[in-house]
Amino acid sequence: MNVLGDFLALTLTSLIPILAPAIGGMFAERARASNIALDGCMLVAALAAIAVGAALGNPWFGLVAGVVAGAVYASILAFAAFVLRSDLLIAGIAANLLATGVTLLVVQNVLGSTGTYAPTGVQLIPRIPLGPLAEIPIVGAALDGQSVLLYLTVALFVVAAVVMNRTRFGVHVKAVGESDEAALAVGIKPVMIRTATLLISGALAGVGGAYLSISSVASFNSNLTGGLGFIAFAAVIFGRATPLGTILASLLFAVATALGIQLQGTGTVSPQLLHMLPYVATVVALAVQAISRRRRERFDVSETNYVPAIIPRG
Amino acid sequence: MTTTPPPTENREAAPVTASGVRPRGGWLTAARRVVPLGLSQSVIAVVLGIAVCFVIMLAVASNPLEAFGSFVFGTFRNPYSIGSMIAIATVLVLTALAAAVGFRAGAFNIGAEGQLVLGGLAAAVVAGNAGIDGFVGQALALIAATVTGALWIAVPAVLRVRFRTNEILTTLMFNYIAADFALFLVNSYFRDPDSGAVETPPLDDSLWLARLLPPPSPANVGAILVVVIAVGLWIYFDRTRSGMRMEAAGLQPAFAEYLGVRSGRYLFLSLAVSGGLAGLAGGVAVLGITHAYISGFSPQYGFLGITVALIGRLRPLGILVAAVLYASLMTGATAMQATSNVPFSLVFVLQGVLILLITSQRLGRSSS
Repeated sequence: MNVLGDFLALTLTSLIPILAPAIGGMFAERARASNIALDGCMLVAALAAIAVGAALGNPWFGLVAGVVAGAVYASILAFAAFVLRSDLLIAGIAANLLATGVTLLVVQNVLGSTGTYAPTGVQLIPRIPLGPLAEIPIVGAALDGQSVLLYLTVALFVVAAVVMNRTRFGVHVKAVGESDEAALAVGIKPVMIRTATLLISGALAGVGGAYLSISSVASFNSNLTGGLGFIAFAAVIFGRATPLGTILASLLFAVATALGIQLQGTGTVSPQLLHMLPYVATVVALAVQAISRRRRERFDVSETNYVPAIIPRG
Repeated sequence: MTTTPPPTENREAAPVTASGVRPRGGWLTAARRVVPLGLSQSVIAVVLGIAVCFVIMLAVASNPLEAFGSFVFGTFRNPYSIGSMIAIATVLVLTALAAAVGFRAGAFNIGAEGQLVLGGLAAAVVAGNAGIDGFVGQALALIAATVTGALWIAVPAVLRVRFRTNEILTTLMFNYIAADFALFLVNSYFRDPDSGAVETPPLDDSLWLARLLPPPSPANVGAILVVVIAVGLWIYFDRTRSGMRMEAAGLQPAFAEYLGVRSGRYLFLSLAVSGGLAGLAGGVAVLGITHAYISGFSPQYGFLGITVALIGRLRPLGILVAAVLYASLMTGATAMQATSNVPFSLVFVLQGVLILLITSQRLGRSSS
């Protein structure tokens, strides 16, 4: 009985740093501005959050710092893509590598610690005890003592779903994603919308990063994210950049992560093999999606996936 | 190099805004034509990147000029560090060729790091356990490394070629899987019982790649091997029909298919070669530098290879020059770390900045 409750609790804990960046990545992806640098944004945000949180002694300032840092870092990507005109995906990979370098440099040189930065007196984001409600079987155990950021992330998801499907901004994002020409014709500026979505994705990745450094653990090293940003990005792809799809895909990857952690307790399988689980799940999900798409396309009339750029398309 | 296509073959459209093309597979899986602009862009990017490093040093170093001196010229101050530079360049050439072969055939193998780690492990295990000494043992180990690298990319490659799965994400995920898998294998089967670290037993001297310089220096005959491979790839891409077809398949798969080139086949071949080269890089690093598989033996050679490939404009001979340049900066960074308070991680900052600058379509155009 308790096992199931613990498992659900682990799943929800693992969900936060996947879902939060995925929500932002969903906007960016929908506007055809894939933010593959979610991981880098998370890393930079995690460092900013713990550094500011420790300096000011208040985790909420840390959270704000993380969100701002994530957005600022995403603006570098936007700058590279729209001002320097680099390929967005390659610029995103570069931004991830840059994030590793910058955080290592800052930790070693500015904060003066080698490898892991673990300041003393850092306060964590509070966890919410359910009190008497924790006695409810399974659900009580799952929700008892979860970080505030879990509730914040779920709230952000609801807001994001409404914004995406019920507001002018959401329509603009989708319009830009469908066709630049059509968007331009009605006066929407694609670059502005894409920059906005990239900043949103950076800010939300900041929530995920802040969760890692000032809610999950109270330390930072440059491997802290362990590719969670990429898993979040994969969740966006697998969820076809829709709110429902994104949260379901995020849940799937969170379940895989939780399963890995839970099974490590039993000691039957090597912990290293279990640690692979979320990554393997990501590859399997992407493969399943691609194969099913391929099957659908088999019945399409023509194969014109690669159209030379000289042929104009509406 | 005379037959290399002029820079006008670069993608005309801006990466996101101007295309409007949305292939049904999602624009993520469209062929990525990464052809950096001319030589001037590489030079400008390197100069700007080093300038950025200098600005960072001004901000963090207690003695910026000395740190900068070590970073740029530190390699050439003693023969030992020149040897290290050559050894690092040897590995970088291979990972850069791995990246370049993928890029030129239209795929982005970002999983070189994983292929390299497993290739290195395979080399250490085969060399240590096959019971064959000397040159044959070395060759066998390097072949094992190459095959392992190629096998490790097989799944992402099949998914990419047959189902158009985004190879960037899958190869990247395979990096994390490779790291866990290597740790698992070493811990469970191959670990040196006499060592506290996660590493395989040290290899016998006869299995080390022969040194080019006197003992403490790690420069080895791998350097000659990679020059041969680079020249071979240059001949392949620029002088053979098959190479031209591979490049055509990468630049414009539909057009290549129209000409009767099976673009999928070439894509798969290029990815397999790419993985094999990355695996070989791991083997060369293990047999030539560390002489045992040591967990974390690679300072991200796989990712650094992407930077080197782009600086070298994806041309095998350009990559040789770029690898020497970047390896000398890496060795310089080690010297800098010893003599000043600027850490080695500056190399990773430079790496990110360089990729951004070199793939910029604006930088090259306005300034050349």
